[in-house]
Amino acid sequence: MRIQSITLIVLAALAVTSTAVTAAEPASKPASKIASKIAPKIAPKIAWYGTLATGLEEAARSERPILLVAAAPHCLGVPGIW
Amino acid sequence: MDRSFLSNPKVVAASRQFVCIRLPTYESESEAEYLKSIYVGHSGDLENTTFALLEPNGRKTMARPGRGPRTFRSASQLAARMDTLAKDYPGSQSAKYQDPHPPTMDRVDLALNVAACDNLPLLVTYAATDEDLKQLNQSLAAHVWNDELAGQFVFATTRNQADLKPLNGSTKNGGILVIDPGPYGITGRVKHEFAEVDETLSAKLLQFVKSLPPKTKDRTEHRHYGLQLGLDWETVIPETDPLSIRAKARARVRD
Repeated sequence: MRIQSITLIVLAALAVTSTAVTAAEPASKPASKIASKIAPKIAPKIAWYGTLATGLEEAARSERPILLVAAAPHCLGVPGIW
Repeated sequence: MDRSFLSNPKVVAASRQFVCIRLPTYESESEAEYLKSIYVGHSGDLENTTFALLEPNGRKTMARPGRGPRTFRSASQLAARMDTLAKDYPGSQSAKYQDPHPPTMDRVDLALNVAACDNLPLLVTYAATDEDLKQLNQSLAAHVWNDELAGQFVFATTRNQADLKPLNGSTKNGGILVIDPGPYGITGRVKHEFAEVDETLSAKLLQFVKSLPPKTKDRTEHRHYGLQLGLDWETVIPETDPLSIRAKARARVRD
Protein backbone atom coordinates (compact mmCIF):
# COMPACT_ATOMS: atom_id res chain seq x y z
CA MET A 1 0.00 0.00 0.00
CA ARG A 2 2.82 2.34 1.01
CA ILE A 3 4.77 1.47 -2.17
CA GLN A 4 1.71 2.19 -4.31
CA SER A 5 1.30 5.59 -2.69
CA ILE A 6 4.95 6.48 -3.28
CA THR A 7 4.64 5.39 -6.93
CA LEU A 8 1.56 7.57 -7.37
CA ILE A 9 3.33 10.57 -5.85
CA VAL A 10 6.36 10.09 -8.11
CA LEU A 11 4.16 9.76 -11.22
CA ALA A 12 2.21 12.88 -10.28
CA ALA A 13 5.45 14.80 -9.76
CA LEU A 14 6.72 13.69 -13.16
CA ALA A 15 3.47 14.79 -14.82
CA VAL A 16 3.70 18.25 -13.24
CA THR A 17 7.36 18.61 -14.30
CA SER A 18 6.51 17.55 -17.85
CA THR A 19 3.69 20.09 -18.06
CA ALA A 20 6.00 22.80 -16.76
CA VAL A 21 8.62 21.99 -19.43
CA THR A 22 5.97 22.11 -22.15
CA ALA A 23 4.66 25.42 -20.85
CA ALA A 24 8.22 26.80 -20.79
CA GLU A 25 8.55 26.29 -24.62
CA PRO A 26 8.80 29.89 -25.85
CA ALA A 27 5.61 30.81 -27.63
CA SER A 28 7.51 33.10 -29.97
CA LYS A 29 9.61 30.27 -31.45
CA PRO A 30 8.98 30.28 -35.21
CA ALA A 31 6.66 27.46 -36.24
CA SER A 32 8.92 26.64 -39.19
CA LYS A 33 11.79 25.80 -36.83
CA ILE A 34 9.60 23.49 -34.81
CA ALA A 35 8.16 21.98 -37.99
CA SER A 36 11.59 21.40 -39.47
CA LYS A 37 12.55 19.41 -36.39
CA ILE A 38 9.53 17.17 -36.53
CA ALA A 39 9.11 16.99 -40.31
CA PRO A 40 10.03 13.58 -41.68
CA LYS A 41 13.32 13.52 -43.51
CA ILE A 42 13.04 12.58 -47.15
CA ALA A 43 14.63 9.22 -47.87
CA PRO A 44 17.48 9.73 -50.37
CA LYS A 45 16.95 7.91 -53.66
CA ILE A 46 19.06 7.09 -56.68
CA ALA A 47 18.84 9.80 -59.34
CA TRP A 48 18.20 7.88 -62.55
CA TYR A 49 18.82 8.92 -66.12
CA GLY A 50 15.95 7.47 -68.09
CA THR A 51 17.52 7.38 -71.53
CA LEU A 52 20.78 5.86 -72.71
CA ALA A 53 21.81 8.91 -74.70
CA THR A 54 21.53 11.39 -71.82
CA GLY A 55 23.18 9.01 -69.36
CA LEU A 56 26.13 8.22 -71.59
CA GLU A 57 26.54 11.90 -72.41
CA GLU A 58 26.74 12.79 -68.72
CA ALA A 59 29.14 9.89 -67.98
CA ALA A 60 31.45 11.08 -70.76
CA ARG A 61 31.18 14.71 -69.64
CA SER A 62 31.79 14.03 -65.95
CA GLU A 63 34.09 10.99 -66.34
CA ARG A 64 32.08 9.07 -63.80
CA PRO A 65 31.48 5.31 -63.96
CA ILE A 66 28.00 4.02 -64.73
CA LEU A 67 25.47 2.07 -62.72
CA LEU A 68 23.25 0.53 -65.38
CA VAL A 69 19.89 -1.04 -64.68
CA ALA A 70 17.11 -2.05 -67.04
CA ALA A 71 13.63 -3.03 -65.98
CA ALA A 72 10.21 -3.31 -67.57
CA PRO A 73 7.72 -0.81 -66.11
CA HIS A 74 4.93 -3.36 -66.14
CA CYS A 75 4.27 -6.76 -64.67
CA LEU A 76 2.10 -9.26 -66.56
CA GLY A 77 1.39 -6.31 -68.84
CA VAL A 78 -0.04 -4.22 -66.00
CA PRO A 79 1.68 -0.81 -65.87
CA GLY A 80 2.61 1.10 -62.74
CA ILE A 81 4.76 -1.58 -61.17
CA TRP A 82 8.27 -2.87 -61.88
CA MET B 1 14.01 -4.89 -60.40
CA ASP B 2 15.69 -5.45 -57.07
CA ARG B 3 14.36 -2.66 -54.90
CA SER B 4 15.96 -3.93 -51.67
CA PHE B 5 19.46 -3.32 -53.04
CA LEU B 6 18.74 -0.14 -54.96
CA SER B 7 16.93 1.61 -52.10
CA ASN B 8 19.57 0.70 -49.55
CA PRO B 9 21.00 3.92 -48.05
CA LYS B 10 24.61 2.79 -48.55
CA VAL B 11 23.96 2.00 -52.21
CA VAL B 12 22.13 5.30 -52.69
CA ALA B 13 25.08 7.17 -51.13
CA ALA B 14 27.55 5.26 -53.34
CA SER B 15 25.41 5.95 -56.41
CA ARG B 16 26.16 9.69 -56.16
CA GLN B 17 29.65 8.88 -57.46
CA PHE B 18 28.17 7.19 -60.53
CA VAL B 19 25.98 8.19 -63.42
CA CYS B 20 22.94 6.00 -62.85
CA ILE B 21 21.09 4.92 -65.96
CA ARG B 22 17.84 3.00 -65.73
CA LEU B 23 16.38 1.98 -69.07
CA PRO B 24 12.82 0.79 -69.51
CA THR B 25 13.23 -2.56 -71.23
CA TYR B 26 11.49 -3.04 -74.63
CA GLU B 27 10.86 0.69 -75.19
CA SER B 28 13.64 1.40 -77.70
CA GLU B 29 15.22 -0.76 -80.39
CA SER B 30 18.63 0.87 -80.03
CA GLU B 31 18.63 0.70 -76.21
CA ALA B 32 17.64 -2.98 -76.41
CA GLU B 33 20.59 -3.66 -78.72
CA TYR B 34 22.87 -1.86 -76.28
CA LEU B 35 21.52 -3.86 -73.32
CA LYS B 36 22.10 -7.10 -75.23
CA SER B 37 25.69 -6.05 -75.81
CA ILE B 38 26.12 -5.80 -72.03
CA TYR B 39 24.27 -8.89 -70.84
CA VAL B 40 22.25 -11.75 -72.28
CA GLY B 41 20.84 -14.40 -69.94
CA HIS B 42 20.16 -18.10 -70.38
CA SER B 43 17.42 -17.41 -72.91
CA GLY B 44 19.98 -15.98 -75.33
CA ASP B 45 17.90 -12.84 -75.77
CA LEU B 46 17.08 -9.63 -73.91
CA GLU B 47 15.40 -10.38 -70.58
CA ASN B 48 13.26 -8.10 -68.42
CA THR B 49 16.06 -6.89 -66.20
CA THR B 50 19.76 -6.09 -66.53
CA PHE B 51 22.33 -4.89 -64.00
CA ALA B 52 25.90 -3.76 -64.68
CA LEU B 53 28.66 -1.47 -63.45
CA LEU B 54 30.46 0.12 -66.38
CA GLU B 55 33.34 2.40 -67.18
CA PRO B 56 32.38 5.95 -68.22
CA ASN B 57 32.52 4.95 -71.89
CA GLY B 58 29.54 2.66 -71.26
CA ARG B 59 31.22 -0.28 -72.93
CA LYS B 60 33.54 -2.04 -70.52
CA THR B 61 32.01 -3.76 -67.49
CA MET B 62 33.73 -3.37 -64.11
CA ALA B 63 31.92 -6.27 -62.43
CA ARG B 64 30.08 -9.31 -63.67
CA PRO B 65 26.78 -8.15 -65.22
CA GLY B 66 23.58 -10.06 -64.64
CA ARG B 67 19.83 -9.87 -64.32
CA GLY B 68 20.15 -8.01 -61.03
CA PRO B 69 22.59 -6.93 -58.34
CA ARG B 70 22.39 -10.27 -56.52
CA THR B 71 25.78 -11.22 -57.90
CA PHE B 72 26.79 -9.26 -54.77
CA ARG B 73 26.10 -10.98 -51.46
CA SER B 74 24.47 -7.93 -49.93
CA ALA B 75 23.63 -4.30 -50.58
CA SER B 76 26.52 -3.32 -48.29
CA GLN B 77 28.92 -5.35 -50.40
CA LEU B 78 27.62 -3.69 -53.56
CA ALA B 79 28.02 -0.23 -51.99
CA ALA B 80 31.56 -1.03 -50.87
CA ARG B 81 32.48 -2.23 -54.36
CA MET B 82 31.01 0.91 -55.90
CA ASP B 83 33.02 3.08 -53.49
CA THR B 84 36.20 1.22 -54.41
CA LEU B 85 35.57 1.43 -58.16
CA ALA B 86 34.72 5.12 -57.98
CA LYS B 87 38.13 5.97 -56.54
CA ASP B 88 39.69 5.42 -59.97
CA TYR B 89 37.60 8.23 -61.43
CA PRO B 90 38.25 11.78 -60.21
CA GLY B 91 34.91 12.87 -61.63
CA SER B 92 33.17 10.67 -59.08
CA GLN B 93 34.08 13.10 -56.33
CA SER B 94 34.00 16.41 -58.15
CA ALA B 95 31.31 16.20 -60.80
CA LYS B 96 28.10 15.22 -59.04
CA TYR B 97 25.16 17.58 -59.48
CA GLN B 98 26.94 19.48 -62.25
CA ASP B 99 24.91 18.17 -65.16
CA PRO B 100 23.48 21.20 -66.97
CA HIS B 101 20.37 19.18 -67.84
CA PRO B 102 17.72 17.45 -65.72
CA PRO B 103 17.60 13.68 -66.33
CA THR B 104 14.60 13.80 -68.62
CA MET B 105 12.91 10.97 -70.44
CA ASP B 106 11.74 11.81 -73.93
CA ARG B 107 8.25 10.27 -73.66
CA VAL B 108 5.72 11.69 -71.22
CA ASP B 109 3.53 8.56 -71.22
CA LEU B 110 6.48 6.33 -70.41
CA ALA B 111 7.81 8.69 -67.73
CA LEU B 112 4.32 8.80 -66.17
CA ASN B 113 4.33 5.00 -66.00
CA VAL B 114 7.86 4.95 -64.54
CA ALA B 115 6.86 7.57 -61.94
CA ALA B 116 3.91 5.39 -60.94
CA CYS B 117 6.24 2.38 -60.65
CA ASP B 118 8.55 4.40 -58.38
CA ASN B 119 5.69 6.01 -56.41
CA LEU B 120 7.32 9.33 -57.22
CA PRO B 121 5.99 12.59 -58.65
CA LEU B 122 6.73 13.48 -62.25
CA LEU B 123 8.13 16.81 -63.48
CA VAL B 124 7.27 17.65 -67.07
CA THR B 125 8.84 20.55 -68.93
CA TYR B 126 6.78 21.79 -71.84
CA ALA B 127 7.45 24.58 -74.34
CA ALA B 128 6.39 25.25 -77.88
CA THR B 129 9.86 25.59 -79.38
CA ASP B 130 13.10 23.65 -79.06
CA GLU B 131 14.95 26.77 -77.94
CA ASP B 132 12.43 27.58 -75.20
CA LEU B 133 12.46 23.99 -74.02
CA LYS B 134 16.24 23.90 -73.91
CA GLN B 135 16.33 27.07 -71.82
CA LEU B 136 13.61 25.80 -69.51
CA ASN B 137 15.45 22.51 -68.92
CA GLN B 138 18.74 24.26 -68.29
CA SER B 139 17.11 26.59 -65.78
CA LEU B 140 15.41 23.65 -64.07
CA ALA B 141 18.65 21.62 -63.80
CA ALA B 142 20.20 24.07 -61.36
CA HIS B 143 17.25 23.56 -59.01
CA VAL B 144 16.97 19.77 -59.01
CA TRP B 145 20.58 18.59 -58.85
CA ASN B 146 21.24 18.82 -55.13
CA ASP B 147 21.38 16.50 -52.12
CA GLU B 148 17.76 17.00 -51.16
CA LEU B 149 16.04 16.76 -54.53
CA ALA B 150 18.22 14.37 -56.54
CA GLY B 151 16.18 11.23 -57.17
CA GLN B 152 12.92 12.64 -55.80
CA PHE B 153 11.26 13.11 -59.21
CA VAL B 154 10.98 11.38 -62.55
CA PHE B 155 11.43 13.83 -65.44
CA ALA B 156 9.99 14.16 -68.90
CA THR B 157 10.25 16.87 -71.51
CA THR B 158 8.16 17.59 -74.56
CA ARG B 159 7.14 20.29 -76.99
CA ASN B 160 4.19 18.28 -78.22
CA GLN B 161 0.99 19.48 -76.55
CA ALA B 162 -0.73 16.16 -77.28
CA ASP B 163 1.69 14.49 -74.84
CA LEU B 164 0.02 16.43 -72.01
CA LYS B 165 -3.37 14.82 -72.65
CA PRO B 166 -3.12 12.26 -69.81
CA LEU B 167 -2.26 15.06 -67.36
CA ASN B 168 -5.49 16.35 -65.83
CA GLY B 169 -5.50 20.00 -64.92
CA SER B 170 -2.81 21.35 -67.21
CA THR B 171 -3.33 24.79 -68.69
CA LYS B 172 -0.98 23.76 -71.52
CA ASN B 173 0.59 27.22 -71.45
CA GLY B 174 4.13 25.97 -71.14
CA GLY B 175 6.42 25.71 -68.16
CA ILE B 176 7.05 23.09 -65.51
CA LEU B 177 4.26 20.75 -64.47
CA VAL B 178 4.42 18.87 -61.19
CA ILE B 179 2.39 15.70 -61.60
CA ASP B 180 1.00 13.16 -59.18
CA PRO B 181 0.73 9.98 -61.23
CA GLY B 182 -2.24 7.66 -60.91
CA PRO B 183 -1.51 4.18 -59.53
CA TYR B 184 -1.16 2.65 -63.00
CA GLY B 185 0.63 5.62 -64.55
CA ILE B 186 -1.98 5.95 -67.27
CA THR B 187 -3.08 9.38 -66.11
CA GLY B 188 -1.74 11.99 -63.75
CA ARG B 189 -2.99 15.05 -61.94
CA VAL B 190 -1.26 18.43 -62.16
CA LYS B 191 -0.46 19.54 -58.62
CA HIS B 192 1.55 22.65 -59.49
CA GLU B 193 2.35 24.52 -62.65
CA PHE B 194 5.29 26.94 -62.84
CA ALA B 195 5.36 29.22 -65.86
CA GLU B 196 9.01 29.97 -65.33
CA VAL B 197 11.94 29.14 -63.10
CA ASP B 198 12.84 31.55 -60.32
CA GLU B 199 15.07 31.34 -57.26
CA THR B 200 12.27 29.93 -55.10
CA LEU B 201 11.72 26.83 -57.23
CA SER B 202 13.99 24.46 -55.25
CA ALA B 203 12.28 25.37 -51.99
CA LYS B 204 8.83 24.95 -53.53
CA LEU B 205 9.71 21.56 -54.98
CA LEU B 206 11.20 20.46 -51.68
CA GLN B 207 8.12 21.59 -49.81
CA PHE B 208 5.97 19.63 -52.26
CA VAL B 209 8.05 16.46 -51.84
CA LYS B 210 7.87 16.77 -48.07
CA SER B 211 4.10 17.19 -48.21
CA LEU B 212 3.54 13.93 -50.07
CA PRO B 213 2.02 11.11 -48.07
CA PRO B 214 4.05 7.91 -48.32
CA LYS B 215 2.84 5.70 -51.16
CA THR B 216 3.11 1.95 -51.27
CA LYS B 217 1.62 -0.70 -53.50
CA ASP B 218 0.58 -4.24 -52.84
CA ARG B 219 2.12 -5.98 -55.82
CA THR B 220 -0.40 -8.85 -56.00
CA GLU B 221 -3.40 -6.57 -55.59
CA HIS B 222 -2.07 -4.08 -58.14
CA ARG B 223 -1.60 -6.78 -60.76
CA HIS B 224 -4.95 -8.40 -59.98
CA TYR B 225 -6.98 -5.21 -60.38
CA GLY B 226 -4.88 -4.15 -63.36
CA LEU B 227 -5.75 -7.40 -65.12
CA GLN B 228 -9.41 -7.02 -64.20
CA LEU B 229 -9.39 -3.51 -65.64
CA GLY B 230 -7.98 -4.97 -68.85
CA LEU B 231 -4.80 -2.90 -68.70
CA ASP B 232 -2.09 -4.15 -71.04
CA TRP B 233 0.99 -1.96 -71.52
CA GLU B 234 2.05 -1.93 -75.14
CA THR B 235 5.81 -2.06 -75.48
CA VAL B 236 7.63 -0.52 -78.45
CA ILE B 237 9.45 -3.75 -79.26
CA PRO B 238 8.22 -7.27 -78.45
CA GLU B 239 9.03 -8.74 -75.06
CA THR B 240 11.60 -11.52 -75.28
CA ASP B 241 11.89 -12.78 -71.72
CA PRO B 242 10.43 -16.30 -71.87
CA LEU B 243 9.64 -16.40 -68.14
CA SER B 244 7.74 -13.15 -68.33
CA ILE B 245 5.91 -14.11 -71.52
CA ARG B 246 4.72 -17.40 -70.02
CA ALA B 247 3.67 -15.76 -66.74
CA LYS B 248 1.69 -13.11 -68.59
CA ALA B 249 -0.08 -15.68 -70.76
CA ARG B 250 -1.05 -17.73 -67.69
CA ALA B 251 -2.31 -14.66 -65.82
CA ARG B 252 -4.36 -13.40 -68.74
CA VAL B 253 -6.11 -16.79 -69.10
CA ARG B 254 -6.76 -17.01 -65.35
CA ASP B 255 -8.15 -13.51 -64.93
